[in-house]
Amino acid sequence: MPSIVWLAVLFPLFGVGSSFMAERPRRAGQVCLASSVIALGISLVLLWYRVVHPTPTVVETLITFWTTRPADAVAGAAALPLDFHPQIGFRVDALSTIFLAVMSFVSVVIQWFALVTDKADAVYRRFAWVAALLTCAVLGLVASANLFTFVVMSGFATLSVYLLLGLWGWEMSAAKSAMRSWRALVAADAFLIGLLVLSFVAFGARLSTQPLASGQDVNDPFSFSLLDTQWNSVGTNSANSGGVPLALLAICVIAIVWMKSAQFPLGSWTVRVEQVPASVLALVLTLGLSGGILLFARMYGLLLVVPHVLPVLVCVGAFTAVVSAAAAFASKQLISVVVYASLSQLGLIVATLALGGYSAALFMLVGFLLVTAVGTVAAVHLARSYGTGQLDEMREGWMRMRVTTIGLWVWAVALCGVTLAPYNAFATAFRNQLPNGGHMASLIAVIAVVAAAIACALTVVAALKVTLTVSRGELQRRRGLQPERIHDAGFMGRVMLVILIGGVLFVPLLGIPGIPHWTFSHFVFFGSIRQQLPLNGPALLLSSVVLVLGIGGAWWLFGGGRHARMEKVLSHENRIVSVVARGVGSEQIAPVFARYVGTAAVMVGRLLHSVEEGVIQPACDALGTGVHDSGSLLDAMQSRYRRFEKLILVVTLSVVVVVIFVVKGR
Amino acid sequence: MPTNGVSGVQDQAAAAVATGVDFPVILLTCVVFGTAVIALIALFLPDRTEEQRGRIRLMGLWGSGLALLLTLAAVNIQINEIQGGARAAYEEQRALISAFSIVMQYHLTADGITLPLLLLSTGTFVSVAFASWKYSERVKSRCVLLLLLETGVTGVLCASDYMLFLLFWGLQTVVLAVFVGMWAGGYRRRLMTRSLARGVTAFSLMTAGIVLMVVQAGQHTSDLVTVNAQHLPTAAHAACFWLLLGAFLVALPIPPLWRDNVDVAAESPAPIMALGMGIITMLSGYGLLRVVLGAFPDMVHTYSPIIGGLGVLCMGWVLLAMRAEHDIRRVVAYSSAVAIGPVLLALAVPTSNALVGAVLIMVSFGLTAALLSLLSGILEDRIKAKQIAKFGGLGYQMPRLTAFWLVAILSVAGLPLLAGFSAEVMTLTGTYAQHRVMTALVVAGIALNGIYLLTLTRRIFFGEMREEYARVKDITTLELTYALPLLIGILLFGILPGRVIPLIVTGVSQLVGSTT
Repeated sequence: MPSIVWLAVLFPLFGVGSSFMAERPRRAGQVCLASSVIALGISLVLLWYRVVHPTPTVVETLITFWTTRPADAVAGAAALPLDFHPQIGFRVDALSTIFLAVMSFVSVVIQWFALVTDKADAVYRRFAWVAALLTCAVLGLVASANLFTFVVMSGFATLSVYLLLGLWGWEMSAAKSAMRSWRALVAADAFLIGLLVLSFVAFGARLSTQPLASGQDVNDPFSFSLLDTQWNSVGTNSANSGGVPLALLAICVIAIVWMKSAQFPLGSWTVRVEQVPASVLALVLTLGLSGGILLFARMYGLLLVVPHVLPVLVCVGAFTAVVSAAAAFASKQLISVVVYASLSQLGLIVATLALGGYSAALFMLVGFLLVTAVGTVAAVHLARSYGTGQLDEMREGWMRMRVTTIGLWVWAVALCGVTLAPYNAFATAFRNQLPNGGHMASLIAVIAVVAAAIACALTVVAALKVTLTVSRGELQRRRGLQPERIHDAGFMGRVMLVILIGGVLFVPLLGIPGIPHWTFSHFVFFGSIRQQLPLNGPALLLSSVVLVLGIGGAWWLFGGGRHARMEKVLSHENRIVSVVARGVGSEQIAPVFARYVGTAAVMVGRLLHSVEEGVIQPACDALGTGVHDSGSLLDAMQSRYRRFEKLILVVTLSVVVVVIFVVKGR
Repeated sequence: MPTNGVSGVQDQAAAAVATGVDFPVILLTCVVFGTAVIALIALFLPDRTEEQRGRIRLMGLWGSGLALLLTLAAVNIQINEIQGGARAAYEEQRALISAFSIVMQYHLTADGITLPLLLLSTGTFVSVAFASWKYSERVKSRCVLLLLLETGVTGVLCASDYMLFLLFWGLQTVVLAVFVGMWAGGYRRRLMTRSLARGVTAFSLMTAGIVLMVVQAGQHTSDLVTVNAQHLPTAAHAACFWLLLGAFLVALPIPPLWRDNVDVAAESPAPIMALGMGIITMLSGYGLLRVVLGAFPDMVHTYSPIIGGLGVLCMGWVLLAMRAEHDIRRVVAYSSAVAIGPVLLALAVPTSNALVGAVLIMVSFGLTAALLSLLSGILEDRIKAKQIAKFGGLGYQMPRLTAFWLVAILSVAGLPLLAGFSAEVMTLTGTYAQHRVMTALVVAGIALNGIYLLTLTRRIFFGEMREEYARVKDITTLELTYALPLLIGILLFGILPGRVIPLIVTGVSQLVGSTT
C-alpha cells in the first residue's frame, strides 16, 4: 500500500506530459486538474491508511538513481564512504501523509478556480502544466525520504515558481519578480547542494560501516531516517570532531529556511507580483513557500543538537513576523496586505517551530496553506474586478461580490485566531520546552511572546481594515471604472471558493487543545514522544486579549463614521511604520543591496575587461604578429627558391627513407 | 606483440568476455580515420553546381554520422559488458615506426573516460554538420576541414601514444585556426593569428614536455601508459609537469586568455562557436586528466591548493567579466568557461567521485555550450542583432526555442534530472573532503552563473512583447534537427546517469589506481 505514494507524486507529472497533447488550452487545464485530483485521491487513501495503522515506523520506498564505488580516500582528509548511491524515493509517515493531502487539496482547488476564471488567458495552457509541475514538486518535497530527493524536488519547485511568475512576462513587474524569486530560491538550492555534500562527507563513511537498514544493500547517507540516528552520536562524540560538520549543516539549514520561506528581507519578491492572476499568486504563496519549513521539520533533530541555532531561527521568525505585520498594516494595496500578512504568518510558524512547538508549528502550517489560499484568491479576484489594487477605490464589495467578500472575511477571521495560530504560538512560548527536554533561554521566549503579540495584533488590524474597507461604503466613480464588471466569479468559481472556506473552518477542529487521540499533535509529532498540548490558560487569555485589542483597534480606526480619526491616526502611524516597513524594510533592502553589489560586480568586470583589452590582448596580438611575420618570411624565402622546392622535397624524403632502412637494417 | 579489438585490461573476467572475436576489430580506427577518408574523397568531388555542393554536404554529414554511430555502438557494448561484470577497454596497438631508438606505436584506446567524451564530440560534430547546411559559400573546404577537425579531436581522445597524441593535437590546432581565418567575420585575420599563436605556444610547451618525458623515461617507447608508469629524475619530473600543465592551461585557455575564445565566438558563425565552446575546451580538460594527472599524480597532490585555487580564480574572473558584457554570444562564451572551476578543482583532488564528476561536467558543459551557441546563432539570425538590449519578449513568438534555451540554462544551473546536476553533485562530493572553502566557492560560482544566465533569459524571452518582432519565426525543422540531438543528450545524461557512471568509473579507477 505505501508504494502508491509514487502515484500520488508522479500523477501530476503525467498531467504535465499529457497537457501537451490536448487540442485546446482548456482541455490541457482539465487534464492537469484531473491528474492533480487523482493525486489528491491517492493522498487521501494514504492518509486513511496511516490513520488506521498508527505505527511509529516509517515506510520508505526507494529506487537507486546511480551507484559508484569510489574505493579511495584523500590523504589527510575525512574518510569517504565506500559507496555513493543517491536514491530517489518517498516515505509514508504522519507528516508526509497529512501534508500530501492538504497540499494536493489546495492545489486542486486553486487549479479548478483558475480553470473557471482564467481560461481566457493567452498562456493558460502553460499555467496549467506549470501548476501541475509545481504540485508534483511540492508533493515530492513533502514525501521525500532523503535529502537527495528533497534536492531534486526543490529544484523543480524553484523552476515552477520561476515559470509561474515569468510566464506573465508582458507585465514587467512579474518578470522582475520571477528573477528575484529565482535568485533567492536558487541560492537556497545551492545551499541544499552544500547540505547534500556535507552530509555525504560527514556521515557517509560512518553509515557505510553500520548495520544495514532493512531492505537496503547499503546504507543511504542522505536518508532522513538514518541521519536522525546520527545527530546525537556525532554531536556528543568529541573524538571525531563532529561539531564542525554539524555546525556547517545547521548553517546550511538556517540559510535554506531563510530563503525558501521568504523570511525578512528575502521575501521582497513576493510583494511585487500584484499583476499575476489569483491562482498564480495563491500557488506561489502556499505551495511555493512551504519548502523551507518542511526541511526545517525534517532536519529538526540536527537543529536540536547544534547549540544557538534554534534561538537564531526564533529571532529570524519573530522579526519577520513583526516587520511583515507592520508592513501589512501600513500598506494601502489590497494584495500587498494579503502577501505581507502571509509572510508574517510564515515568520510566526518558523519562530514557533524553533521554540520547540513541532506539532503546533506544523498545525499552523496546515492552517496557513488554506487561509492564504482563500485570502489570495479573494483579494486578487477583487483587485481584478475593480481594476485597481488601491483599497481606497474599493467599496460595496458586500453588495457586488458577496461570496468573494465572504472569503475575505473568513481570511480576516482566521487571522484573528480562529485557526488557533496565535494560541499555538503563545502556548509554545509559555511552555518553553524543546522535544529533547531542553529549554530555550527565557529572554528568547519573552522576545517570541512579545513579537508574536505585536505581529498578531497588527495583522488582525490590517486584515479587518481590508475587509471593512472593501465590503462597506459607497463606490466612488472614477475614470476607467466599469461597475458592471464587478461581480463574483461564475458558479464553479464560487463553489471552489466555498470549498476553500470550508477547509479553513474545518482546520480548527483538528487542533482543539486538550482533546486526546483526535488532535493533530497526537498524529504528527517529533521522535517518539507525542506532544500532547494541554489547554494553556495564559496563552488562551493572551490570544483573546490580542484578538480583542486588534478588533477594537480596527473598529476604532476604520469603523463607520470614523474616517477623520482613521486619517489622523494613519498620518502619524504610517510615518513610523513606513520607516520600519519601507525605509529599512523588506521592499527596499534586497533591491538596493542587489543594485550595489551588481554595480560593484559590473565595475570589477569592466576592470578585468580593460586588463584583457589593454594588456593581455596586445601581448597576444604581438605574439600572433610575430608568428605571422615569421610565416611571411618563410613564405618569401620559399617563393624565392620555389623552383627548387620539388627537388628539395624529393631529396628530403629519399634521405628519410634511406635513414629508416639503414637504422632498421642494423 | 600487437593486440587488437576489445581486450581485457584489468582482470581475467574481462579477457574472457572480450576475446570472443578473432579478427582484427578496427572500430577505433574507423571512428578516428573514417572522417579523414571521407574528407579525402570529398576533396576530389566537384563543387560547381548546387547539386554537387549538396552531395559534398551529404558526404560530410555521412562522415560525422558514421563516427557517431560507431561511437554509440562502442559505448553501448561497453556499458553492457560492464553490467555483466567485465572491466574492458577498446584497444588497438601496432608498432608504427620502430626504426629509431624510440618506438612510436599506433596505439588507440577508449576507456571509460574517453568514451563519453568521444560520444560528446561525435554528436556535436553531427549537429554542427547540420548547422553548416545553410551556408552556401566554400562548401567543399568547410566540409573537408570539419571532417579533418573531427579526425584531430577523436584522435586526441583515443591516442594512447604520446607521439600520436601530439600529431592529432597539432592537426586540430591548425585546422581550427584555418577555420577561424576562413569564416570568422570582422577582423578574422587577427583572430586567426591570435588563435594560432596560442595554439602553437601550447603545442610547443606540450612537445617540449612530452619529448623530455619520453627521453627521460628511458623505455625506448612513447607509449602513454608505459611512460606514465616510469619514475623520472626529480628535476626532469618537475620540468615536465610544469611544461605540460602550462601547455594545457594555455590550450584550455584559462582567463585572461579565454578572451581569445570569446572574441572568436563573437565573430564566428554559430557552428564554429559551438565547436570552440563545446569540444575544443573539453580536449584540454581531457589532456589535464589523462596526461598531467596520469603522469604526475604526486606533483598534482603537492600543488593541489594552487591548481584548485586557480580553478576558483578562473571561475571568479569569468563570472565578473560576464557581467560587463552586452553581447549575447560573448555572455554564452563566458558562461562556458565556468566549467574550468570544477574541472581544475577535481584535478586538484583526484578522488573517484571528483574525477567521474569532472568527466560528466566536461560532457554536460560541452553539450550545453554547443546548444547555447547554436541557439544564439539562430536568435542572431532572426533579430539581426547581438546586443542583449535589443532582445525582449521573444518567448511568445519562439516558444520552442525558449524551451530549448531554458533546458540548456537549467542544466548549467544544476537542475536535477538534467546533465549538469549529477556532474556537479559528483564533483563536489569528491572535492569537499580536502578543499572545503574552494568547494563552497565553486558551488557559489555555479549558482551565480545560473542566476546570470536566467537574467539573460528574462531579458531575451520575457518582458513586453515587441511589435517589431511580431513576425519572427520560431525554430525551423532544420534547426530542430541539430538542436534536438544535443537536447536529448542533456536529458539522457541527466535522467540516466546510472547507465554511464559505471562506465566512467572503470576508466577513472585505472587513473586513481595509478595515482595511488
